[in-house]
Amino acid sequence: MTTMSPQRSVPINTIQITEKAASKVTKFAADKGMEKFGLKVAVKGGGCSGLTYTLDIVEGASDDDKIIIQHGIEVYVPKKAFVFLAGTVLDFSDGLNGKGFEFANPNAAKTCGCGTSFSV
Amino acid sequence: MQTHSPTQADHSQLDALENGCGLVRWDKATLVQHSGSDALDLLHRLTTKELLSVSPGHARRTALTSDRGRVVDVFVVAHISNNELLLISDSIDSERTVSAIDYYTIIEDAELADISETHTRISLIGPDAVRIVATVLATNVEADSAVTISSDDSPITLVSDTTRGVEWIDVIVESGAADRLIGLFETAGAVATDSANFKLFQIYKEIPRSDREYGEHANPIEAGLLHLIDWDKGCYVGQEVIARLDAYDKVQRNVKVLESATPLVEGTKLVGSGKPAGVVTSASAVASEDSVYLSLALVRKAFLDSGTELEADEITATVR
Repeated sequence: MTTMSPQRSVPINTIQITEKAASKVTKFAADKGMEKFGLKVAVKGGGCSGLTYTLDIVEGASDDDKIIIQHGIEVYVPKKAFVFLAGTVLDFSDGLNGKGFEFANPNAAKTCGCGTSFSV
Repeated sequence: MQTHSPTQADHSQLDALENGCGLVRWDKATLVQHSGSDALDLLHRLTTKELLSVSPGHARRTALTSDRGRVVDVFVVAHISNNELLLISDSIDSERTVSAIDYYTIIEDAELADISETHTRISLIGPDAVRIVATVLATNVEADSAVTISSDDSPITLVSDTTRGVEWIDVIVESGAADRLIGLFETAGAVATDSANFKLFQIYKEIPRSDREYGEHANPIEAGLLHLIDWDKGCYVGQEVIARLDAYDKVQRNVKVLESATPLVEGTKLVGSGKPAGVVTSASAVASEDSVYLSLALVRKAFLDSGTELEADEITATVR
């Protein structure tokens, strides 16, 4: 297990998506032929550390989603998951050593080796 | 050292468990209904066994571990019908299991209902258990199956578990209907087993017990639950820690049966060659047929060989 700290300060009442991550989401949506889309960011039970991040490109928000607009895309976060994600930065790293989408979550006390799950 | 008059086991009860059908009525057990379209998938993501292939009518035992790789609970997941599960565990602390699963239920469509207080668990154990159930309830319980039948307007759930090395059928019924059903099982040949003899049987068969051999003090490998781990199923809570323990051979203890001339006391620390050797986790207060007292202990690696003599508070115990 490794500890993880946010790379930058983000207001606790929101989550932040970097410009690079936003452009990747836009590209993936275009590849799927979606004109209207948003990024659903959530947390579900499971994974080595107990809580797992989920990312989905969806057509619209659900009733209980918090909506955050950044870099031209809408980010949807279920209110039940927001408590685990408040203050998180979602980034994208590519290249040979890149991990794809990365979460810097100030609520995460521990993360698993692959970074897809965490505990608080 | 205290002198001790051996209290003998009840041969008829042990014989029924071994060769016929012993009946155990649990004073307390964890019984939880888990419903919703995400319930099975959630448990698959949380626990050590692959569960997605458990279709309605089937059951599989699994372990819920913490993110530190320690055992929170071990339960049978009985897939009663679409989106309806029943969780059955030996733990007397149902709240702990419910809380642990509920903690990880975030966006999932999954609801928990603790029915431990309103329902009774009866276990039929032994090679004759299937016949007894068929005789009384006209239902053939296949291995690792789960079925709910209606009897006198009272639903009865029958769940087979093959993971303990003995034939084992759990019967879950509303508590008001338990006495009558037990009477029918006994008439058909099941032998009521008291807690002392059931405990001796579990120790003899090296069956790990809740909050004794396994619990939050132990990982599932050292607690004798290796068979409940699917190594290729992917992530579950605690998987990284457990995989590391196995890959780097870091498991320091194993469950072993100890034999002694007088009964041991649970919690007693074991000493071997002057060094810490483990701890007694389950101790039988009744002697087996040959007047030997059996116990289970978490024994450190250096002392696992059969015949190794250990000291337990001035009582000599031998590793079986």
